[in-house]
Amino acid sequence: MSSFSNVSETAYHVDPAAYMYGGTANGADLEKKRYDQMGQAAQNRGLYLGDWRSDQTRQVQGTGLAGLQAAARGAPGAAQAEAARNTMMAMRGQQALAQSARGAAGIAGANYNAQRNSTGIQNTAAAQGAIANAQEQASAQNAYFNALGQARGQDMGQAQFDVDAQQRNMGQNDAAGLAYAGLGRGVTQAQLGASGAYQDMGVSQSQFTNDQTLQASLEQQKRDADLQNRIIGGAMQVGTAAAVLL
Amino acid sequence: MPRPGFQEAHWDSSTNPEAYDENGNLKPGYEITNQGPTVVIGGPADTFNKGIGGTPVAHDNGRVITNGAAIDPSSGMMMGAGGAAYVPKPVYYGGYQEGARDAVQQYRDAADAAGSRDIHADTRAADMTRMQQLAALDQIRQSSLGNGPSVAQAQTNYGLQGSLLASQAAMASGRGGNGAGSYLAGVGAAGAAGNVIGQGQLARGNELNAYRDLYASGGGAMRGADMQQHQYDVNNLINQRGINDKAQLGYEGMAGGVYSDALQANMKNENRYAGQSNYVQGGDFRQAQADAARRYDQEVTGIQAAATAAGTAAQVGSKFMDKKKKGGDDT
Repeated sequence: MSSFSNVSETAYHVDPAAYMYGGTANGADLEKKRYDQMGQAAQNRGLYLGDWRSDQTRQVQGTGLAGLQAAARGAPGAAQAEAARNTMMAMRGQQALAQSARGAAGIAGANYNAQRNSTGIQNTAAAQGAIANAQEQASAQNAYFNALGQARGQDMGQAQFDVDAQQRNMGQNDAAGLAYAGLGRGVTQAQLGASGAYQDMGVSQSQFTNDQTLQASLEQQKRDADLQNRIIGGAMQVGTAAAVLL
Repeated sequence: MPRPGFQEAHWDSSTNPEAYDENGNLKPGYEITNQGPTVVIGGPADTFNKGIGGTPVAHDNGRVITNGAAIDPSSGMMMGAGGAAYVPKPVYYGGYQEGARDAVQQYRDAADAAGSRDIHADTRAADMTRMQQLAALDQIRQSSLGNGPSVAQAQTNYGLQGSLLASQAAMASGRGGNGAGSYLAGVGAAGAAGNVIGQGQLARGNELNAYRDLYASGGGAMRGADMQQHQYDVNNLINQRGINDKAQLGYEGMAGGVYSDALQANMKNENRYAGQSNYVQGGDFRQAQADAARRYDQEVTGIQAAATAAGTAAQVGSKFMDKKKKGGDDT
């Protein structure tokens, strides 16, 4: 059998590391775990939706809505304040005119006129103020309702934008997570194929070597048997020759 | 024996843990040549050996059913006439026996998580504004019923006040005459007051109509917004389902792919074992044929030798008898 040992010694010894993903026994496992972690990180990426600008102006908007609400409920408005201020100024004017009168009869007449005119001014201002206030309140009711509608539309739009953004983010996260999972699976597939190839190679090399060994063994057995037969034949010939000589 | 440059590792990692890493995989530089105990040929499948879904398969890690090939108990190698044949190790998905099942579970968990996600729209601010708008609309409704502010009423009051003052002034200017001027002034003032009231009622009617119109159109606007919100909600739900389905299908597909990969690997394992078994049996068959041929030759040679010996003996015997008849040596 020594003559065959050289054959087996020349057989190529494959490097098992060549069949290992990343060149190490656990290379595929480590790489798959890395992809899994990246996939999970991608899958769980959050989205910050805070918007301090619109939050601030929403508060301003709320303050404005509160003012409109008060006006719609009949709170004293600008027209009423204006009427009160104008009335005050008109009455001071009348007092100044009265003080400018001379002589007892003149002063008495001036005071009478000033008092009568002041009453008239007050009544007129109060009536016109009431008209303006009613107009303000009616207008505020309409404006308040419409402004609330605008605010609600914006609130709805903001909420919808947030949902859209979160869903878009989720879709992107899913795509990335799936892509990473696919990479991890690809690593495992590659290692699976390489491990199978390694086993196939072992089988192939083993069969190749064993075929040679078996062939050599059979031939040797045949040679041994032939030699044995020839020895027997030779012995027989010797026996026959001896018999002839006897 | 391991190949040059490699150290022997036992198939059972608990026997020599230094040859295995923390994941149970063989470290570089180690090699298993002894595949461990074998399963009795024709015996039951190893109950510890489970394929995907728990289906028993014909071999376990280091435990081999050889389908008739002889096994060397000391080495675990298949023994044939050509010597020891390599016993292939089973190749598992993920490198270990439960690898496929774990991977499938991992992907299925991800699929389940993806399928049950839901994103709710935060409509609290919009809902609160809607409630305020409803209250504002109710106030408009009160105004449309005559319970709110009235510009027409205020204007009427103002007109009546002016008319009264004008009447007083006219009546005062008629004093000192025959009273006819004062009377006529009073009649004129009454007519003016009646005109103011009539116009005020007309204005009031228009005013209430305007409130009713505002109330109806406001209700319509709110209904439109409510419908819009509902559509948002429904669309969000549909979109969410679509996103979830897409991800769920993706992960389920991967789980199915793992099954497929593991199935292919298991079949190749079986093919490898069957092929090796056939190979070993083929070697045995060739050896048996050679043995039979050799035995035949030996038998023929034996027969020839026996015949030759018999012939030679007969020849020798004949010559001996001839010599005896001729009075030769009687030995």
